[in-house]
Amino acid sequence: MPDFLHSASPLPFGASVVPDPAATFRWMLVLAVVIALAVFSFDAFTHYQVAVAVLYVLVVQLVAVSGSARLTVIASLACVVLTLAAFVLTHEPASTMGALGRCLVSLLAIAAATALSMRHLRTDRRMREQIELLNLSHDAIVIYDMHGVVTFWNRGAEILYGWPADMAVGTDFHTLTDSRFPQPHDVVYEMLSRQGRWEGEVERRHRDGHGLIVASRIALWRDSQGRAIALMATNNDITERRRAEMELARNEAFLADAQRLSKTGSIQRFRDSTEMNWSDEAFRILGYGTEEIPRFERVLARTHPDDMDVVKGMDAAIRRGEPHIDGKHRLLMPDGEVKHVHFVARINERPGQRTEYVGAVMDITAAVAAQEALQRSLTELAHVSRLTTLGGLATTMAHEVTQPIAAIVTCGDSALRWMDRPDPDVPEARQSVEQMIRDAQRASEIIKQIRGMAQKREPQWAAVQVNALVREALSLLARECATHQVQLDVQLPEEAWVVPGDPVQLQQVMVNLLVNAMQAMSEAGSERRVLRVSTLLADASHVRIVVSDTGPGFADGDAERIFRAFHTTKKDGVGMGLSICRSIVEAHGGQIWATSGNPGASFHVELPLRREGES
Amino acid sequence: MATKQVVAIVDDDESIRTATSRLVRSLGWEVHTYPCAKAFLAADATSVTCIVSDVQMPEMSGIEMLRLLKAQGSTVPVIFITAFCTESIRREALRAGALAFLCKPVNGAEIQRHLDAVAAHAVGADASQPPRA
Repeated sequence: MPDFLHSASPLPFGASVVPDPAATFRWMLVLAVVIALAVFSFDAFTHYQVAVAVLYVLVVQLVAVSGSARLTVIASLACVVLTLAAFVLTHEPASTMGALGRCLVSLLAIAAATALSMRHLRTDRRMREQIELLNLSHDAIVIYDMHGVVTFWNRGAEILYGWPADMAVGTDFHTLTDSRFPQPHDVVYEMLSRQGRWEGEVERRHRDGHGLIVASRIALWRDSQGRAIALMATNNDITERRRAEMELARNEAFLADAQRLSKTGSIQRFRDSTEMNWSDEAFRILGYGTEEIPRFERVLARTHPDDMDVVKGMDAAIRRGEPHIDGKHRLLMPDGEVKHVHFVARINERPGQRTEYVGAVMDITAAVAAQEALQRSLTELAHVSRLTTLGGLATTMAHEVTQPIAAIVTCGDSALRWMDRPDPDVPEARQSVEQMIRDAQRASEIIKQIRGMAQKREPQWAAVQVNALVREALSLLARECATHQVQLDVQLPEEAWVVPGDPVQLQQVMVNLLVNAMQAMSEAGSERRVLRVSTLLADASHVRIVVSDTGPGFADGDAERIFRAFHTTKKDGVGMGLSICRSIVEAHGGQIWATSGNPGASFHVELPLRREGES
Repeated sequence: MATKQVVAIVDDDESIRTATSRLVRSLGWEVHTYPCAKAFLAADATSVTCIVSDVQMPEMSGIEMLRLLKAQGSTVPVIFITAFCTESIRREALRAGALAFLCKPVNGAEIQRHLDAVAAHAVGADASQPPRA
């Protein structure tokens, strides 16, 4: 094992625990000089027949510790000079072969020691350079033995873990950094011994306590006999990257959750092709597996046949480059399920890049179902309300039917009498019969109206003549007017205003407002009971019906409250009438509001006029 | 004096007014029609032999009109024809001095019987014949 891997070994410099090299060298030099002088003195001034000059080897070795090849060579040469000088001083020219031999042995020993030291110095320098390279690395490089004891700790490790090398070397690496491996240590070591390396993310702790996530690559170092002797860990700090990734993953998870919960998928599409990108939720809504390649053709394949024009229209709008795309359509899934979706997108033009549309597809099936359920409830409520209104008008309604029937019977009687005369008066009889027909039609008309109001039915959209609507409601309530002694003031301009709507529901609104007005005046015992009904053009696209009475009106601040459900001022009312009126009017795209006059109250119903070409 | 006997028909419902008018004319009477009690009172009603009136009318009911006539000393017989055929209204009408109280739809023979009685009474009063066409 190389020396520097041992914690006890002096490492060449900074990155490990070493005594001050300059001070050490000074002592070594002093010692070398002392030894050299001692050896020379012994060799030159004593007559012992020993090869004491061999001890110059120590001097060379001590100087070599400086790491300087030049000093080592100088020291070596000095030793050679001293050896030769001592030989000259102590021996005659005709010295014995023994003395000469001892001198040569000493010189050879000095030369051998110098050569070995020089070799060691070269190796040492190479090693220093390699270690310096390791220190230059931004990675944290730590070398530790098979017991986990740190033997090398580079500058990257000092920066990453906050521990200086002199404190880290000699400690247990995993304890010092509170290492947590993704796998048990046994597994890691088993992999290291089998493959020689391991890679993974390790959680560690900085000296100041904050957590770190490092990408760690560990290599096993074996000696020439194949014995595991050390581990080298190269670590990169990926804490920020991992946090950013985790944040991203969490955001993506939130987004996916939000998309799943809101049943909204993201969609991207290029303007010039049918290529698309879908989020997972978009795949789910469209009923495709995420392995499928998203294309517009796949959307078409799922489009309900009846809504094909809508989807193709949106496709055409994308190809034309319209800034906003917004459309609702149905999907027909392979299992027959029908989904309602709302697609919205906006154009995203980027210089030098293909124009794309980014948007969302929302599964609004539940919302549509809820809307339909609400509509059904409204229809049922409106029906119940109509029945209640009719119930309240039962007496007058019965009278309205009885009148023409009574007239028919009377006319029939008179027709017979005109015919039964000795000289039958055919023209008179004929007129009676004609009136019978008229009255029968009138009775039939009234019954039809009553049945229409009593019938439980889905709203049926039609073109409704506004003034005719008002007149029919008034005719239905003519008797009620008489009963409540209400004077009518009807102002209907000769205009054929037409609104799209359900005639029965709109009739219900009118009847409700008129009955309310009559009852308000009657219940309050108003002296002057005038029911004013007028129609006017509110603006170019709206017609307004105004029903005013001379009753007690309502308190300031009640203008909104009176439209709330269960708000009533009547003794036997349930307070649904105006609430239902508002629902009906709003379902027709209109609005209803009330104003308090002096005296009385006015109710304003504004409805959108039928547009050109609208059925 | 063979004065043509006139029946005044007071009803706010045009159909009923016309139908009653046809029936009474078929019985040989001359008929004057009025859409409400006030219209009848406003007209010169002295020559009327009999009044056939609705009970429930806006502004002034048939019974109120009868009371007003009685108060003015009128003896013209009044026959009520109504769809609101309740016992209480019948009693109220008769108490006010109505000659008859008939329910809609009115029976031709029934009204004929009452008009015949009126005519007979009128004959007795001014020796004129009941009208026969």
